[in-house]
Amino acid sequence: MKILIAEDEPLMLKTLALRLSKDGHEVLTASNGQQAMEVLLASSPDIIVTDIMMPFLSGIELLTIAKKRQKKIPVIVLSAMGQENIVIEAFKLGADDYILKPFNPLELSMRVRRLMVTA
Amino acid sequence: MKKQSQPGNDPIFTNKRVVVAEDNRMNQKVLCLQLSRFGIEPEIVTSGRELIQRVEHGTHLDLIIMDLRMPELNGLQATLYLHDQLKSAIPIIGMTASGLDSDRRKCIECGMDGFLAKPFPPGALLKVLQEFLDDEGTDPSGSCQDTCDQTCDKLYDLSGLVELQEPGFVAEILIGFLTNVPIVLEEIRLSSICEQWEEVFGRAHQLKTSAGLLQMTYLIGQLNEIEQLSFQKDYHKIVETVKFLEEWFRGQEALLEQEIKKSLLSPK
Repeated sequence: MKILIAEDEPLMLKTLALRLSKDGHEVLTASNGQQAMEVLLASSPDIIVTDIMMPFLSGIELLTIAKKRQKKIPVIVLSAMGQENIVIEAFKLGADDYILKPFNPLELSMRVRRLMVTA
Repeated sequence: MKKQSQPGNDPIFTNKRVVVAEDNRMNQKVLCLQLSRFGIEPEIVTSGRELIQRVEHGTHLDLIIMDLRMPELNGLQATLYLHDQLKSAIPIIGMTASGLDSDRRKCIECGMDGFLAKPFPPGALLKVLQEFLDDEGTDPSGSCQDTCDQTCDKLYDLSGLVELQEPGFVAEILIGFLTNVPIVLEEIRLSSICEQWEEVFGRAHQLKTSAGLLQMTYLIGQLNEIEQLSFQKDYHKIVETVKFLEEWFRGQEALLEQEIKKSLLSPK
């Protein structure tokens, strides 16, 4: 699977990328929303994992655009405590799953695997 | 009535008299700041001798929080004097250097009622306050050292990173983190001086993500607080919290550096 990870915190991005590439996925990374958009348009990933709070373009905007472009693309949203309202917003916009930070990278592996089965 | 520690909803012990015996000015400030959160304005003394004079000649006290290492009479000697000579029954909590088992043992052996291993999170302090200042009384026999151990010892958890089984990766993340924290804290401070509240929120939020990688729950809690303070545009409290965190982080560096060495030396 080709997975796009959009996350502005470099250590987190690196960790998640390592986790998913160890699971055998091809990983594309973006450290802000703008970059994620460019990767989305240029490389057509199979799954998107995106942080909500990012500079230039938020995860919510990325989600909206990705779903408009391809309704069935699975999107997992990473959110922090206190952003519960935004998570509901994300589900309304078609998000397939969400993970609350802080989390064990293994949880992302499992959730990606589950989405691949149901997708 | 069960008291819970929640931001903005901390239990308050305003009518309690607490004395802090500590000679290090930075530690005094940090502890006063932490106590003020629970409505306590402590009296400060800077040596064991001064403490004894205060107990002997001053008004009633509800709690003594005392560093073990002080000039003139140290914390242990002062405790023995208070108990043996003055027959004092005021609860005494010793402050020890984190990780020194021998210090903890000494506190209990010389008759202190509990100890706090420095640096301690507000949760550990709150448990002590609840145990010794709460009139409704929780459990007088409940040992405060257990609660302190729980809250102090789990400063971070690297298992999520170790599971990745990538040689040197834990070290790489930790080095990034150690470099990053002081920079981000400084950025938060500067942004709040410039009243760039969105920037304050953004930086705190980002640091929270990397603190989450290491499961540093205490740091995450403090960063949550900075996020909230950025909404309230509370410059003073943000700067205070940042200063406290800088001091706190300096206390953690050696521990994290050890983890880096461990990660680099491990065969995997």
